[in-house]
Amino acid sequence: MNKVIRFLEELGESSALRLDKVDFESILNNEEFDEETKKAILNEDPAALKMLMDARHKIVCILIPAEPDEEEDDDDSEEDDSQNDEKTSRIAML
Amino acid sequence: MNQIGSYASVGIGMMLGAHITPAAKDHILNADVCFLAASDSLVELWIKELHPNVRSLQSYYASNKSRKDTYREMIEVVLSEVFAGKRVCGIFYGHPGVFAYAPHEIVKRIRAKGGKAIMEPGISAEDCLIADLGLDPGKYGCQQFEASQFLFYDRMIDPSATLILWQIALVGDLSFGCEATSSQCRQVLLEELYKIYPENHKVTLYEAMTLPIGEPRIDVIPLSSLVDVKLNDYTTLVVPPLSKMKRNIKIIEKLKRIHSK
Ligand SMILES: C[S@@+](CC[C@H](N)C(=O)[O-])C[C@H]1O[C@@H](n2cnc3c(N)ncnc32)[C@H](O)[C@@H]1O
Repeated sequence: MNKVIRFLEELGESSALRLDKVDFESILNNEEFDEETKKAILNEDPAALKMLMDARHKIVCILIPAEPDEEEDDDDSEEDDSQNDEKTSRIAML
Repeated sequence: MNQIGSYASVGIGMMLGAHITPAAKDHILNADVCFLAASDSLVELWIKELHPNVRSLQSYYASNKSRKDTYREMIEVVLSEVFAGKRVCGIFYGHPGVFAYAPHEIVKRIRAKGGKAIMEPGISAEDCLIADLGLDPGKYGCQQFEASQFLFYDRMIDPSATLILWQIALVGDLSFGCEATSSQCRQVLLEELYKIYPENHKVTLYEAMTLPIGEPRIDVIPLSSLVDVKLNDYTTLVVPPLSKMKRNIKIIEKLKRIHSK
């Protein structure tokens, strides 16, 4: 695994990350990262890190359309209509 | 004809390294082919390290392309591998079933053909929001909508409950694109919200951490500032309750009568 990715994975897994103050400086001293990578991590600068890692610049995370599936919606409305019809006819029977 | 393969929609949570479950990881490791929708490009690199055949779904998004086509194509490419007899893993950031169309649809279509398909839950943006904002959706109740859907349909807002709007950056986009919409669209949203909330009602813009460096974004702003602020496609809007819950005396009396019998 890429060294930087492994570093991030281990950091993500660690309980110290959010509860204690992570001493990035001393951890990074033991890592064989280039100076720019160390700097990006120390500055907690994801954008710089992504550039250095040649990661995708733009990523889309939109996963749902604003409208439900047309087919499904039609099915539902038919169902609703029939239920309504049933209700109306029950009322009519009363 | 090939036998139908199998499929799992798995969630990897929000933060690199922190949220992936052992089960999700095992699905990835044991798949013949993986498809990936991540929300952070370093997360994408991380997942690609876990399996030699991870195909990103990012290429299906494009400017001036309806997301309905994007999702249809994503579903088709995944299904083609499953129907070719492979063991396939659909890897989605967060929870694969939370405000996400393709992961549900793929499972549904494979099952309809008699194939084996499951969904493996993950830690969603909402789960992180609950933790980071100290918000319990059960305290006052919680309504949540996709922001554009909220505008396109007549919805009833309960001002005594929390309101969460997802995909707020794309609010009011009738073309179902993947770019942020204009401040005019946000203004339309505001007009709807002003029917209930005052302009100075404090709302929160939230962005969970996806990497173990940096901080979550927790910006508390007056509702009226929503027009000007920077919204990303990964921003979620939280509108806290405006009014107190009103006790339903009639129902309580009715229940008391039952209990006293
Ligand atoms: C289509 S939904 C997918 C949600 C995802 N399935 C999950 O489990 O969180 C996309 C929306 O999720 C929310 N979202 C995604 N990433 C986020 C993050 N890092 N912080 C806060 N909200 C996020 C935003 O509202 C975004 O527009």
